[in-house]
Amino acid sequence: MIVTQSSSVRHSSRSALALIVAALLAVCLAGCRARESGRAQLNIALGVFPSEAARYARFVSSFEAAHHVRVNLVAQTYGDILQALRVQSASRRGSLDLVELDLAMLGRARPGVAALDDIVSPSAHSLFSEAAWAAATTNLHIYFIPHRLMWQAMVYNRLKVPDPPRTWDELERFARAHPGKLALKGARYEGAVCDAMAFVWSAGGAECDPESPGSLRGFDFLRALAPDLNDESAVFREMPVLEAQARGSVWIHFNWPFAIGYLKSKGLAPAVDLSAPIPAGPGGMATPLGGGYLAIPLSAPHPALAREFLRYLLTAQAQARLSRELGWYGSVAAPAGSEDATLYAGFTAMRPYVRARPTLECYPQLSNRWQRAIRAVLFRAAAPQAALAAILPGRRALRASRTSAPADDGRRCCAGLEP
Amino acid sequence: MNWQARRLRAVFVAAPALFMVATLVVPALGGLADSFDRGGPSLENYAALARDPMFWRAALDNLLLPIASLALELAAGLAMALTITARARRSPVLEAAAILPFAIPEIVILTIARYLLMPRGYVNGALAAVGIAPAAWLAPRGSLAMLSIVVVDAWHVTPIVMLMLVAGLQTIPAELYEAARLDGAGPLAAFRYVTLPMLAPAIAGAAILRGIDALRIFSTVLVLTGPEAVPVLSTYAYGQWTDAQAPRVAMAAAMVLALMVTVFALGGALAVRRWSSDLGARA
Amino acid sequence: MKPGARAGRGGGFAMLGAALGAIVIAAAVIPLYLLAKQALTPELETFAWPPFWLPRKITLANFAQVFTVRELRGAIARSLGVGVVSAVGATAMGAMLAYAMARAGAARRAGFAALSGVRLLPMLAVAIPAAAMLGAIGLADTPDALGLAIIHCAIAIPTAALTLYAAFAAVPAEVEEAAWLDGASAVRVFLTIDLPIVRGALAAAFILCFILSWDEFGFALLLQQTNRTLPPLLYYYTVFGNVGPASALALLMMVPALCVVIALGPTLRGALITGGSR
Repeated sequence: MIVTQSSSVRHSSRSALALIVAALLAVCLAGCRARESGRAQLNIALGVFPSEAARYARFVSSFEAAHHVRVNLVAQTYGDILQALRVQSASRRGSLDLVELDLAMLGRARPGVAALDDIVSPSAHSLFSEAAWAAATTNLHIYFIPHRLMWQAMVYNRLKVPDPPRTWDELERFARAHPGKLALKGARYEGAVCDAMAFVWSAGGAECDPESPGSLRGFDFLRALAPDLNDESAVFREMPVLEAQARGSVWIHFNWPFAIGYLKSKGLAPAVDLSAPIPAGPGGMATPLGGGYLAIPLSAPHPALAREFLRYLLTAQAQARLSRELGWYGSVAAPAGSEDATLYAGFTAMRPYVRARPTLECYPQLSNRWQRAIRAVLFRAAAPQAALAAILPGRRALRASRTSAPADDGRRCCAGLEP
Repeated sequence: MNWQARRLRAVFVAAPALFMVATLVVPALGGLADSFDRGGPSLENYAALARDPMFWRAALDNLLLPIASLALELAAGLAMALTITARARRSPVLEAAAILPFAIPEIVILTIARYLLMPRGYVNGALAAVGIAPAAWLAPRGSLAMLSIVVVDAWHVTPIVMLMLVAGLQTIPAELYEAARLDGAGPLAAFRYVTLPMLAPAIAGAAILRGIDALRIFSTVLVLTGPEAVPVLSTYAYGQWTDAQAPRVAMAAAMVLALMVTVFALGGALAVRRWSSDLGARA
Repeated sequence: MKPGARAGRGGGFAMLGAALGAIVIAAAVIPLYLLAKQALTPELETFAWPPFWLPRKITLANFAQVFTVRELRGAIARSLGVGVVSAVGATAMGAMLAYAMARAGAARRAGFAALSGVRLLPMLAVAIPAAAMLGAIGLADTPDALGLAIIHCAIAIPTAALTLYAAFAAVPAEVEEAAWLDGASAVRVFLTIDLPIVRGALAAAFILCFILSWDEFGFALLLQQTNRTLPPLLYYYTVFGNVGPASALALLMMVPALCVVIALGPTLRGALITGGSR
């Protein structure tokens, strides 16, 4: 088909030219405006939803005014932020001053971030639990600052389940009586490990010890629950399972505190949905610590400003403001008797049983293997013992020696796992 | 003068070609090399793929979805092309409406489709309004999800197929239809004996081009159902790259997809060549 | 007179054609209307069940929210910049390639082979290793998105070349020969004789390449994580954000494409057939 030269074409090519010139002008203007402001910039990448980013922007406005800076927030997924950090480390220059990373990524990210011991004063240290700081510390240096700590609890439909299960037996009975109403986050990602580890830990098992009796007990329990799980568990992540709970197709699932915030915004909490502790197993209760930690990349363009911001965050007032203004359930507990206390009762009850996943450099590979085993047991009727044996084959020796120092455990745990 | 012109032409081919090779082919070759690398040459990445049941599901879906989508695009594109060319007057409204889904960015189409097909979306709302029970259009592991993906993908691309076929239809000389009419052929027979054979090259060309693009389906699946519910090779590779942090396995999966596309393209080109030579022999 | 019209269609076919036309128009208009409605109505309305078909309350709050996000202004500027830069580069190189292909048989065959080969590469087979390589040399996730512009330029060259090929082929040989006889060099002939003749196609190619870059999702998703262009940003808003702002952003993204479709109409049709590709 031949494009001929008609007058209409000439006319439209002229208007197209006008469009192009206008576009170029817009680009220039946008660039000029940014440079005109003259303020120092601070670029922060956070793992928040766009609506939360808007509220966080209001939270930082006081810091902006006090220090005469411009804070640029980027809302992204933790995985993409980690990728951006790796790119910035590889090229040794970049635009990010602060990055928020998920707890499961800390081991992987450590080589690319700066040590932050000088920022953490004793008063700052008291703001968060030891478990939280332990995950942030490697070789006695602190590399990450807890930002938005959370842990999981059980979210249940109080209308359909007036008496939520408190032990493994009760949970199993519930699942059997109501097939398809219990859901686990079983998609191929870290969330599956979060859900399953709560059971493995509360039976006495551990990530680096998949063939221990505790791990086997935990997996046996998962196997018992498997036939009655909601069908979509194989692809559920935090948001989809939450939406299913909101719709009523799931009555019990496990999630982070933001789930209650979401259900509250839909008017479903506390009228329909509430939180409760995760059912206790033979070894007690356990819940995974999760959430975001802030770090300063080694090649940050404004490291001094970034450290100022972290110091600002590590004060009780800032933490209280984060809880209040962003609705984050965090280090400052809600006053007893308030609506928030009722909504987050399950999470508050789990606070003493929070446990961090190991901060290992090989954690993604370890987690992948656990994910495979979990999914095999839950969705392909695999035998728990065989699935667990495939995680770290040839590690029977690890079971014997439990007295070695944590650093040794990490190296032994990672030995042989491909990079 | 000739040698100057020839040299210019050589530069004019070499420069863009080098640029494309450097920016596209070199990374692809690098990815190919990396897919065989695990601290040393090894087939371990491909073995990891073979061990993974989701990879096989992704490979199967990557064949089923494009075939279904292509069939739908060709049928709908042909119908729309016939409709447009059959009119005595050109309708700019109809033509603009036909092109619109192509002009809109794909991510916008997918956003709209998500809101239409959500469990509490407009499609279910419309069904509920007439008394039909709502369906889970995007439910994972359901065949409805595959149907939704096929329809949305076809919706976005049908305008191009339509345009290709319109161009093809317009090359059919009117005399052939006159002759058919004089021979007593009705509209259906005219379609079968005049339109279809003359349109065959255009249909074949559209099938191959759109087929190649359909095999590379990525954003449709990613936005509508997420990386896992209806896995295809590209979202599988993406999942390996981001969630699983296994870049080499991701490249191996991408290479399998590249192989699939190449086989299809070469096979299609050969088939078309043989078919058109057959047609030529018959004519 | 359209040849198809002579196929002797009866009244039945005419009705079928009308029905089909109505479906096509509805399929294009209704989803856009719903998107616009979502962008202009408050959040609570959007979550009502059964859904509202007509807006009850119009509000600009969603657009306001979208415009107060600093990242958005950067994303718009970035998309514009990448689009313009890659379109300029692709049009220039596409023009070079198309000119050579239109003038010489060997170049034509080589050119078509090269362009078809590029079309064959699946996005991910290139994007993942390209992201790794560009990251290593510092061209990934940069505020100016130069790496992305380079990639967009490369993938747009086939579109530009195929759009311009027919135009260059249509330039009458006498015009060029006259210039040669006057002693102009080959480069001079190309710049001063051929380019002005095909400037309509040049504009069409530029615009097609711009739209290709503006809409491109896959490479942008993998290359720019924190300095995003509009498509990955919309993806994030759609999957993780609220409906109102996401719809407003989607409407915003449609503006250039709609302008161009309306302005270029028939030329675009022709250009799309020769060079149109996702």
